[in-house]
Amino acid sequence: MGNKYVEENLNGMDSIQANDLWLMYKIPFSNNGKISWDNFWALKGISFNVRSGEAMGIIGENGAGKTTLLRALLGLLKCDRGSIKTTGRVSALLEAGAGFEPELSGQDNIRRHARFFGLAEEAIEAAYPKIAEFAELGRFIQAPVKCYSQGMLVRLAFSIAVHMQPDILLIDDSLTVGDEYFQAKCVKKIFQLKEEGKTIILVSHNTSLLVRLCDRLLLLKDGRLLRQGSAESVVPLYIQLEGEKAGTALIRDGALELVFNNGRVFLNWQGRLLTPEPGVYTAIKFRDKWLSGLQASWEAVKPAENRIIARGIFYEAGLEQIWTIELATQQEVLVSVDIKSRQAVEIEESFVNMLLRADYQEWFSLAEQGEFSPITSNSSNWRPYLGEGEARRCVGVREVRDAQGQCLPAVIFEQENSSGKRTAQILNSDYLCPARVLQYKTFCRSNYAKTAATQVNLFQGKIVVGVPDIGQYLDNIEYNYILQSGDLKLKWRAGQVILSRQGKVLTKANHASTLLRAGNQQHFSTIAEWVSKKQSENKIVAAGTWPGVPLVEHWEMELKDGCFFIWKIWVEVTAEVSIQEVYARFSFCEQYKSYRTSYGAGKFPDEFMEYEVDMLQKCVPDGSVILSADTEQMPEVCMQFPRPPNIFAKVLNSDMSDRARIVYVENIIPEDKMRFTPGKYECFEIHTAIAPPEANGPVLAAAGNTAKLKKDGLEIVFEKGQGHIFWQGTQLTKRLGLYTSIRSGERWFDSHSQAVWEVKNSDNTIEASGKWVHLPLVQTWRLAFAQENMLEFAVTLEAHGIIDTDRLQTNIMVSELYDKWVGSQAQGVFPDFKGEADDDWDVVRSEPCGAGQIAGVEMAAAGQRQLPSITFYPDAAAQDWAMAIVNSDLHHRSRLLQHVNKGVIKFVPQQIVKCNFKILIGKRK
Amino acid sequence: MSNRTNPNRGGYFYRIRTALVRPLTERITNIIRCRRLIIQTGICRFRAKHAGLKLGIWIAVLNPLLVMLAISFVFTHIIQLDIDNFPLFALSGIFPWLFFSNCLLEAAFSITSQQVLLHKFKVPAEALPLIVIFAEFLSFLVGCCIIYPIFLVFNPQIIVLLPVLLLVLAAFIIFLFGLGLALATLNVISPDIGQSLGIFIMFWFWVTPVFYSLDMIPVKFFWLSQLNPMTHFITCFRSLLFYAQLPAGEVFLAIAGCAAGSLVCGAYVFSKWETSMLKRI
Repeated sequence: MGNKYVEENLNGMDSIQANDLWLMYKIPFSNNGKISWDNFWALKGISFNVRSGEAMGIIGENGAGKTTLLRALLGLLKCDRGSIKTTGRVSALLEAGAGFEPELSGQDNIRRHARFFGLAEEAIEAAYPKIAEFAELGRFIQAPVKCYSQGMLVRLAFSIAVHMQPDILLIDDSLTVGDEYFQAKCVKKIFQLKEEGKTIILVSHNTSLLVRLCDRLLLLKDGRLLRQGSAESVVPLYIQLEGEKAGTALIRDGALELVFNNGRVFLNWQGRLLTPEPGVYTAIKFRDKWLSGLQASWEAVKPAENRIIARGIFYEAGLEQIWTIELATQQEVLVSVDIKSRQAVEIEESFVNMLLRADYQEWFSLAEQGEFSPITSNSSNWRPYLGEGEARRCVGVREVRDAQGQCLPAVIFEQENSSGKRTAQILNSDYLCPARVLQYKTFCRSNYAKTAATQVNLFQGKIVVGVPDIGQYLDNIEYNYILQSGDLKLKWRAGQVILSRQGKVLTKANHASTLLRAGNQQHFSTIAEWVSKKQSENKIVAAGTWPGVPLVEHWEMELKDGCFFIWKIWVEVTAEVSIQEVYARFSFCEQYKSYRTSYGAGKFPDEFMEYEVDMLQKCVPDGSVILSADTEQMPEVCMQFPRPPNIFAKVLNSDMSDRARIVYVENIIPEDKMRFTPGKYECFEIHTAIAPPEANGPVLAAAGNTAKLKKDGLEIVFEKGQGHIFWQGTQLTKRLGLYTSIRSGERWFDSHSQAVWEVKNSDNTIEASGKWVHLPLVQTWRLAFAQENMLEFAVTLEAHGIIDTDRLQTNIMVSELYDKWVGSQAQGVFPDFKGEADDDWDVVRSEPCGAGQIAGVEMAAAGQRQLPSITFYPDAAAQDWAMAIVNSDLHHRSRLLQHVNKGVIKFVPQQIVKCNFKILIGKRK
Repeated sequence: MSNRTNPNRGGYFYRIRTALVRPLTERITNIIRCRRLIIQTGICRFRAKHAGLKLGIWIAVLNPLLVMLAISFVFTHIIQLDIDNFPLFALSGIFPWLFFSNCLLEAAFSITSQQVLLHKFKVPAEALPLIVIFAEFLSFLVGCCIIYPIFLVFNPQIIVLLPVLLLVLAAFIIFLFGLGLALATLNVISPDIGQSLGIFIMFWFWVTPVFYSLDMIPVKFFWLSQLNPMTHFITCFRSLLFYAQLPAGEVFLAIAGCAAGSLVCGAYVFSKWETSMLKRI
């Protein structure tokens, strides 16, 4: 106990107390032969304590004031201000190898040096053998020192210094001299001295030695004490400052410390480096070459204590990059990066990257969030976490504790409203330099690249560190306006609507946004320039424009009754322009598991593919789309849209990066109406009901889409452009069944997916009228029983606009169990299915179409239940038409009976094409 | 008791004491504490100086004798001076003069040439001129071992005056230290001083009665020669070695004054420039 007390007492004492040291040299600067004596402050207000038994390192670039500080500590220099108090005997190893009397022997010089160190004669005699042994000079100890090599001199000097039994040992960076063996020996000796409880002050550039040896480090720069603390906290800052001196600068405020170093910016928080090499940096693509900001030669100035202005010149490119960095508060750094050039610049692409420590685990953007995956050697490099093609204003990482249990604060990388030129991205870097990356990227865009300006802004925004409540912060910066009605909340930000209810965000990725295809270019609402206004307590109006596009997209968003979101979109055209499509797109969270529409229902798969998957394989032309989740927290949403011509919806599962359930509402503009003259055009009005009071939501318009006919064992079912034939309860048709197809402009338009149907069902007839959404065509089907096993099928196609079709088909798709075909002049057996899915279908037989000529299938295979043969024939002969027997692809694996024309038909309004068929099930009776 | 801390009570003397006397005494005790270092290092230096030479320690004797021979040749055969036993007369002046000039030159460069020591060790800077002066003194002593017996042979009475000689020597060393300290300090501040010192010492040599006697100086310059401190020291050494006479009382007074004045002057210069000097080296 007693021993421990003594030791603690000793350790508690301060060996060195340095208080506010200022030291000035007068330097004769010669300027054109005129000498002016200028003051140079080598130490500027340095204060520190060294406890007894502590090992402290001093680190800093050349000229930082390290040696001056050591000399002042030794008492060789008197400070102009401040005081130094040392307790105990100080011995120093400075300028090792110098100061020997060259004519005298090593032995005499040892004595001489020892005397200078202040050792008594007896002590010198006692120490002498140890010194001689440690120096390992052998016979040379008797030779004059002038015969020594530099290494021997250093060995001698070091041996003397460490054997002087000092209480405090000051060592200047001298361990780098001498061979490796002796270096190691010296280091060992220093460790030994440290263990003996000596106070050691070591000046070195060898960071690994400093980290191993020193309890504490002082970092000096330009005579100032930049930081003192544990080696782990000081060395990173030292490394950050390494580099060309003119291009480095440091600013700090409170816990936040920022280092600019030749095109890189490092952030430190409470002495901990947040941004590993190379920190925050830029790269630009200029004349097909990537130029990193690190390649420029930099000059950084500090016009104020909290501001850095750095200019970097790319000599070969003739460009100048300018960074303006300002510590606005103790948490906030304003950053602006510009490119300047004498001629017009054409920057093709650029990005600003911010690397963050791999300790960070969770990322967030404005309304998305997620977790980083660990960086391993086989993980795909630079994997993005956010979907492309979107302008996000803000990305960040959440607070985390690192391996040492120290807190790393949340970091937010935010851009000024940049009119959609930049998109944010969150990435994982590769395992060589594991880091989380926040990125702002400016894509090549014609209107951007061709700026004739001589100054282009690469980035403007801010970095915010250590925000306690991120949710609130994001709400404040992110949304231009927020509407609230009951539990329902709508957040509006340039080109996006985010819906949430009871604090749960329902949408994700792109949320509710639009896409406009005009002049064969896609214009996302998220990258438009928006002007918005909160018109009333629950209504926002906004107008978005894209540079160089002569139209304005108007949005009107309204919340009603705590459960309705009404979204009106119209377009104002300012000069004649062609608009092909307008989409409104809702991306809902993946917690939504199932969908219901008036054209089908189903469940979303849990797996996401690399591409978007159309769930229904068809368009929903009217009514509503309902999404529901399996959890209580996600309310059912129902999107209802009115149906002027050409509007329909689609339900999709998104790709892997978005992981969202997508509902598209499309307004596809017919080709003849694509030219828009100046004026206002309405696109859609979508009513979204979110958990309305009636728990089931609006009833689907189920009626009017399906119809049935039944006679004896036969049954015909019509559903959404498809007919199916059942015989004694067995379905004879397969998959698409009875359907029609129209080909126009190299594209197929099928009755079951691209047309909207209305059905009238009477006792013995089905009359259905289908309207093609993309084509100015209306088709009418009439199905009736002629005899007990014979169906009459009449197809009438009527145009209400001008359109060319190059193929009209009427098909019956039947089971592959049918293996024999029967033509009017021949019959045969079906070959095997050829080709992969989506390949052209295999036409087995084609015959010109004559009245009553048949195309039929029969079944011969034994062992199966015998199915009746099916025969399909037209009522009248027609010249351009043919009957065909077709084998489908492997995907459908079915046989087709087909009535097809092979000529171009130029439809004009009111033109009618009429075909009547008979379908015979079984043998003719 | 409480009044002791009142600075007004001490008044002028108190302030002198705190501002001047206390640091001075501190310094002096510091030097005294270093005495062993100074003596040992002085011996080291003395050894180092002669270690590389073939002639070794004999150079300390040969130097004054050679100068004596040269001067005797010039002033007895070319310019005839009416002085009895001229070679010995000249030697009695040249021997202390050479000690003086060697000390001054060595001391003036003692800091500039050994600044490394001030970078490495916690040594008081004033010790450096002291060390070289001590090393020179050792050479002088070795020379004495040969030269003093020469004088003794010619004039055995001088043995009686030996204690006086040692006293004068002590005053001479104090004088040299003061001057050397000032020169060493100023030489760091302005290196011109060291460079012109050689010429200055030569000039000083001619105006000091080293190879001529004091009574040869014209009357109108006599007062001027009295202002030269070396006149008194040389006169003193000469009468103690050559004439075997006790110098006049005012001569003792003069050399005491010179020694004290030189020391004060050296201390003043050193204390005034020390800080900036240390920053220069």
